[in-house]
Amino acid sequence: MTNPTPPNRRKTPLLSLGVSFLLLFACGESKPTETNGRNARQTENQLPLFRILILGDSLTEGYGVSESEAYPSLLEKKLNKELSPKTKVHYKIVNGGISGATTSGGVSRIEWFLQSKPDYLLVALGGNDGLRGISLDEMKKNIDRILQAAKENDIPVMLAGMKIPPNYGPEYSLAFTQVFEKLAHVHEVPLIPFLLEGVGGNPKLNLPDRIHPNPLGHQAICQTVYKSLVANLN
Amino acid sequence: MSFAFRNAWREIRNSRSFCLFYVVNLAFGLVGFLTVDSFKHSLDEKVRAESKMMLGADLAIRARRDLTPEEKKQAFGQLPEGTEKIEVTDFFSMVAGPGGRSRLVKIVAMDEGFPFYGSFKLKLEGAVQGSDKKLLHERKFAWIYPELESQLEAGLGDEITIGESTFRVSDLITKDNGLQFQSAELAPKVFIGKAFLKETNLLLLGNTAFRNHLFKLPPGNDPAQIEQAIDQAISSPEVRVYSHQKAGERAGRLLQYLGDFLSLVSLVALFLATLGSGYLFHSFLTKRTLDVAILVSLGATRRKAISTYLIQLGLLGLIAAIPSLVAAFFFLPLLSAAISGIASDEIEVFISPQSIFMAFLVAVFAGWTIALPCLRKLARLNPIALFQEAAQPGSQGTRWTFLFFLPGIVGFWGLTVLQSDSWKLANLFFVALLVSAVILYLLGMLGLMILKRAFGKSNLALRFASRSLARNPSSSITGFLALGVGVLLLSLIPQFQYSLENEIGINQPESKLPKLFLFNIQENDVESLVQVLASENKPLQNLTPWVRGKLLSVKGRKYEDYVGKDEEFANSDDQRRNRFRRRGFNLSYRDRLLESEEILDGRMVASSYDSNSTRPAEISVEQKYAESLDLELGDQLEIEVGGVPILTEVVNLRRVRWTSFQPNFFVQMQPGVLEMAPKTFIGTLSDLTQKEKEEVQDLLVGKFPSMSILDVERTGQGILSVVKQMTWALQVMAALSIFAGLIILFCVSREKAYKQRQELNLQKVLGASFNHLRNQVRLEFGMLGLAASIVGASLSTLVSYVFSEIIFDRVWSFYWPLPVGISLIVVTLSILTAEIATRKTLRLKPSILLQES
Repeated sequence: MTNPTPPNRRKTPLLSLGVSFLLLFACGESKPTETNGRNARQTENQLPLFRILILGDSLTEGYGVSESEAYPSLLEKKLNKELSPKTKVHYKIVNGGISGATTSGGVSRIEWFLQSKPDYLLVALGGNDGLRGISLDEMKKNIDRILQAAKENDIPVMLAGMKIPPNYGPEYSLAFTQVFEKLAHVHEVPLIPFLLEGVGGNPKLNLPDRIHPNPLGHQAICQTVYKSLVANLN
Repeated sequence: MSFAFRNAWREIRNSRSFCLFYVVNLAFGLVGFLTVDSFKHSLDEKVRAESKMMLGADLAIRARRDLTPEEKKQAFGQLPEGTEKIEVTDFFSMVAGPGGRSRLVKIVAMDEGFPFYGSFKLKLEGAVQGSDKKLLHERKFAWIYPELESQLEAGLGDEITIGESTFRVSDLITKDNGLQFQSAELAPKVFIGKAFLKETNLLLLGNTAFRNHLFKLPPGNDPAQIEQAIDQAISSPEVRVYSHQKAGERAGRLLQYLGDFLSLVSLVALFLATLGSGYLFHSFLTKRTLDVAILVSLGATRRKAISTYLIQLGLLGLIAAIPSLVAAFFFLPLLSAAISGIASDEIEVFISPQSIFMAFLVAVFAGWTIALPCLRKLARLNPIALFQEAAQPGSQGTRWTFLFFLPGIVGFWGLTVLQSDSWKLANLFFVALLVSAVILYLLGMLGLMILKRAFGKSNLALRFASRSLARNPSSSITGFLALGVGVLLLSLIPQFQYSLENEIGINQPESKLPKLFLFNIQENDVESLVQVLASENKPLQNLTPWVRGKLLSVKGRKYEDYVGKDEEFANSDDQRRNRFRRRGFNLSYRDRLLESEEILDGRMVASSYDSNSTRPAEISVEQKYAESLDLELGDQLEIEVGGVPILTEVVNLRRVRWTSFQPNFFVQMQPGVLEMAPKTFIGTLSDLTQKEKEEVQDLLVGKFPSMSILDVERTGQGILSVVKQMTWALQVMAALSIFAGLIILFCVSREKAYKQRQELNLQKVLGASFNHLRNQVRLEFGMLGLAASIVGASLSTLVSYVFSEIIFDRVWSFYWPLPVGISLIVVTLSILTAEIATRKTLRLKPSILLQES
């Protein structure tokens, strides 16, 4: 059996990550020329590499659609096609989406992801907290810790707001939405008011489960995130 | 009255001893068959009732939206006239108690009449059927799970807020049925009348509520067929159609096992019933051949002779079937009553018309087809053989002799197919028995050849015993075959019973089954959680890391190229198989197996990983998951964990007993690889009373708010109840088949011993002592029994293994005391029976025996 891995993508178990994490994490379609210092990283076409980490849940992971149809992949393509000629950087999206992830899981993962020194962080968590009825105070604390960790690592952040389906009750829905607004305000970070704007509740843009977006829904999310990113990256 | 009939009647009167024995033997076999068959039907009914209660209906349509008028027309058009319909809506919502304390609950808003099957058990009102509870549909009342009393601080009579409306808590639900689509519920339930749902104003645009249309079909309709028809009529993937059979699929594998096992027992009982009778008739006809030869020489036609015995067998079959049915009618209610204490629910055992028909069919036709090879002797009977010394007229076979076995073989195959619910099972059983019989026959012949030479110089008793066996090859081989097949069948059922009991984990004490499943435990909360629970004297069990991974490639191919899309798969089975493969999946790491796991192929993963090594990390893959990805040992998977790709290699395939409710994963990696990866933990709590469970939930929700708790006790009850029923069914069936088998073995041994009378008498005339003859009988039958049981038990082990590979998903545990125990019983039984059967002969004076002959 042939090993599918190109020689430059040696698979290393996580135990040895202390040494090799940065090297591995930077691997993707582009080859890193240096692993120390974000601005020094360059792609094959000599454009500096700009990595955006999206810390999210199943929406980001692309539950029910192929990886190339999920909004992080679409966003990467769009950024490189439309924004890269202007900014002269090559964009790389790191998909940190995990199905079922809650904000508390985000707290435990953030340190791990930040070791790779992403250039930008998009926090797209909270949906599962709402669906599981986790206390909003707890959710707020968790997102607060994630934003704080990014700040300590000098990584600019954008927060993606979420809404909860109306059957969860008007009070809870309102309080849930306000958590994101308050946190964005306190941490002075840009906010996408609703990640699923135009998608949530629209059967044409969702899978049969009516929770997860279909490929068309992901295109709409990509558009929403792109708009906010362009406004803030510039 | 024809000559043949008169002659048959005369034969019956003249051979009372044989007839009585034949009838008794067949009747015992038939009672066994009827009992097992009736239990099978009753259990089928019970299991069907269980799955109906899980769904609460015969059929349901479930969607997260309202059906369009067109869809309703298409779907309802498939329903037979007289179908009852109700609607139920269920969804998650945050509900607040009178003090403002809120909690996630599952709202079930139901029409009057829900559920069609099963009932509610309420604290105040007790058991309530669907159509009894009018008040809930007339006023804004709510029934809540008991744990909500403390979680919402809402007692009986208090008001809880659901959306924009309030409902008064009028009762607490201790058990409910219907709409059980998941094996565990994320939140406790609140039941309200559907008429008041609108007032809550919760189902606005974008809601995620499920709309369920439940149907109760008129009798005689197959829900599975209608499910298929509706499925085809409504093309939208958003709409799911469930027959109760599909809803019961959660315990599906177990139920499938149970059905297959019962079919197997039924087939065994059927075969045992005919085996003993066939053996007896073979012996009888061999004795009667000389008489028939005389009749033929005096002018009777062979056709009349054959007709005589066919009528005799038919009459005896009818005579045996009638008391069997009467006995079964009396016996079954007694047995039902006796086992009602063991079964989780009462079960009504009844004899179905199908069972009665089968009993008559077996009693009459099985006797005929088994007798055909013996009747062949009559057809070929040549009176000249009478003048040949020591001749057995008609015993010489031709190349076409086997043709006379064909009707019996084909008939038995037809019965196995009729009796079994599964074509595969029937054919496998048939082939296994046929091959075993051939092996037994060949080994028996080989054994006789060895016997002729092996004991030539042994002591007298051994020499005589071995010669007696070798000089009567026909009788010895038939006895060996009957005993061997009997032992095979006898050990087969307990062997399956043992394997299946191990699979369903009934040996695990119920107190060890988890009551609460804790997940999303944060790494930094683990220590304090363990301490908190320890201080409450409720230790956290099965603490297991939970890592989320993504499949990047399988066997060198990019995951997405490998799996394809659902549309590419022609049938729903393949689509389901495809959906089983998920890019994102959960994995964990450890270097040991849990009680609920077993390695089927390969070795355990290494206990540590050398971080300087470039070798792939070792993984253990669950059997079904491996099947869905066509994985074998040595195949490589590339898994991404937290953005880091890891190359892994499959070193073992593992079977998981999912009913154990232990934290099991599709993929387990060796230690030393994932320790630093981002992860959460899961754990379980068991041995909690209802009150303790509520207290612990309250405590944990307060101290560890990000942790999620699943109550697996209530929803697991359905599966456990099936498991319990299955266990006692296994035990009762195994006991019945052992009982039936022992009776057959007794008949076989007795008949063989009876045949030896003349030979024993001859030895007595020649001066052999009582003790010598007794020892000789013991040795002869001991040897025959031992050889037959060793071969039979070995074949049984082999057959059970093959069955487990093909039918029972490789569920196989070898339990050595079983074949050893059964072999010892059979040897003892053979010796004892032979001794009882020959004792009288041994004690008689030779002159009396000579007069008899």
